Amino acid sequence: MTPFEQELKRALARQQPSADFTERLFARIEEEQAAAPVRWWQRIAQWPAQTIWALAPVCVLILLTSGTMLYTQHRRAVQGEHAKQQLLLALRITSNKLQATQRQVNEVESERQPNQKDNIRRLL
Amino acid sequence: MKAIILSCGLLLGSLPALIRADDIKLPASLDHLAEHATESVDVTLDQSMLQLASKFLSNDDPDQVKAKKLVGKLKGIYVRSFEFDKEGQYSKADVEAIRSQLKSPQWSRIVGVKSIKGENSEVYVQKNADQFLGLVVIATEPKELTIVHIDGPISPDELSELSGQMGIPKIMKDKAKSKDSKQNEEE
Repeated sequence: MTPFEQELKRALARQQPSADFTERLFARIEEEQAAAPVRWWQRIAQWPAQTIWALAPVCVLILLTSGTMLYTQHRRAVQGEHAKQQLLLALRITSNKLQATQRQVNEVESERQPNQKDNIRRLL
Repeated sequence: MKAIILSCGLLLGSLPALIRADDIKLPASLDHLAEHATESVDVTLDQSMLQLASKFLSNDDPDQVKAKKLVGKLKGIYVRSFEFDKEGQYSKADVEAIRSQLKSPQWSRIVGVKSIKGENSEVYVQKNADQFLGLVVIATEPKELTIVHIDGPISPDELSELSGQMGIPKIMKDKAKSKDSKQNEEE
């Protein structure tokens, strides 16, 4: 056995814990639990039942109000999107009709110009 | 003195009604046309709906930015468009109901085109000094009827600005300069 192996064997040899190990361990656990911050729900859970029942309607009211607000917001968004589509459609139709009118005017003008030229020729 | 105050009060009170008297009403008979139409479009956007719609227009799309600028001042946009599968589904009376409202001095027809094919177009504007306060387009074809009413201040430049996807041509700008020169051109 080499000196390194002997050293390793010595280091890894089984050792018994001290007599007060268990006590010290539980004491440490209790210390840490006492030092840990109390969460908000843990605090609420510690409230008296009367207080919790008194606050229940308020919570329901808050939930209903926020629900109504969200629904109204959603409905308004749907209405707005519909109105936008309607607006774009209206502008597109207006555009198409004005373009068609312009095309017709251009056609009339182009038809008229040769006639005017003919009239001028006749006069000359 | 009391009588003067009372009459002034009455006059002021009736002012909104007098202003509204110039409004164009799309006749209810148009709504019945939808029953016979193969395709129909009914757009009714009052000021509040236009404001709502403009909030939903994109700030990235240049056309929508222009549209937002345009509709910001408008009081309403009303469109009725019908396509039929056969001719004679709408009567002259349907169109005349609109036309008769445009005979008031505030309105002037700046374009009126009639074609042999029966494709007729009329463009009316409501003018106040150098500003247009409204626009009505009546486009009739044997199987199609379209009426557009844009209520509110709109300049020819603004209309021509929407020349992108919307494709509104510069007709209004050109025609406004030669107002009434084209009137009754083909009649």
